[in-house]
Amino acid sequence: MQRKKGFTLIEMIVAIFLITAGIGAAYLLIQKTSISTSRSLDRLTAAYLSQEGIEIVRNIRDSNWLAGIGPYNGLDTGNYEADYENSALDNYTGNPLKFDEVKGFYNYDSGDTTKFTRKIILTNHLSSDHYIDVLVEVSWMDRGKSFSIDAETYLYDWLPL
Amino acid sequence: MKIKHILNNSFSKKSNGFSLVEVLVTLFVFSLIITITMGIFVSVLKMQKRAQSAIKISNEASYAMEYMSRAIRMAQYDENGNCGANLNYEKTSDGIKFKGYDGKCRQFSCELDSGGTNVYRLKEIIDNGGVLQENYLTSSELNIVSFNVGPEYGWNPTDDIQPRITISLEIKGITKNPAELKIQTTLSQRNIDRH
Repeated sequence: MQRKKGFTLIEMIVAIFLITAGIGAAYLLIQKTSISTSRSLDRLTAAYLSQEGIEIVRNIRDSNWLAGIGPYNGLDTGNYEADYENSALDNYTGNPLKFDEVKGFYNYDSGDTTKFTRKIILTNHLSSDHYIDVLVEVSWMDRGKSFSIDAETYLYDWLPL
Repeated sequence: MKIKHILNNSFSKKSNGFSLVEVLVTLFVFSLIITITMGIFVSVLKMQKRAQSAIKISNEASYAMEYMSRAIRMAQYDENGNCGANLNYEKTSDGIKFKGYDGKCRQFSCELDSGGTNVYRLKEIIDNGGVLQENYLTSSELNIVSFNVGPEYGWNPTDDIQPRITISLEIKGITKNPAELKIQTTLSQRNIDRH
């Protein structure tokens, strides 16, 4: 009988399995890292879009002061959308923001649809505590997973005008 | 049949080496493994490069946006017209100018890098009493595809509107297959616009 020098089939299968598992794990790890990096960019964009929501509401309150029509005019309890070009809030429709490549701005009227949806939730606490609660939710989907960022502020009527 | 005789003699009987088939199979398996490994390796390298440019974008964009946001938010009405035309903010050909929180005229713009690279960078110019101080806000390793300044809403102090300004940035890496970021925010001036 000839002396056996090579590997058995079982040995080969186990070896190939181990190598595949090793390489596959490393590949998966790097892929996951890469995906989470790109998600952190989405998060950054969403954070600034939520800041935009708050600033627009704040701007409406401040402009109301200047116009002398009471700080909370047009800021009733409800769900809203805010476009950077519009002076007032619009009712919430659930439509995602669009990005206009020519102007270079996120808006609701023109451009390609983006993944970001922004909901501005105003809650009026005027009768008891004299402030309004502004909560901005920016939500989006990435590879089948949903994400969201919330930003919140309270706006008071502190200016003696 | 001399050849067969030789073949038989030299290869089959006392053979210590590999047969042609064995060598072919080995080569095939070897090249298969190498190809797959290299494929994975190359795609990993690509992903890593992209991730690195994404990290760079994220760092520089958050710095630039935060820096500009603060300066723009804290801007003052340019009462004496030292910085422009007696407004809260004023658009320039490639950006914006205004009177800063410290009374100095400030300007943000997007300019071709003076270092010779073919890259656009964000630049801040502060007027220190006639001496212009220029700072780049982004590095030459990223390209500012566009820097936009939004609608002139309430920029004139004679209207009854609080000044509001929208800025947006499109940033791209300069490597092959680069990461990209489109970021925007709106700011309402903190000083109440009284006239």
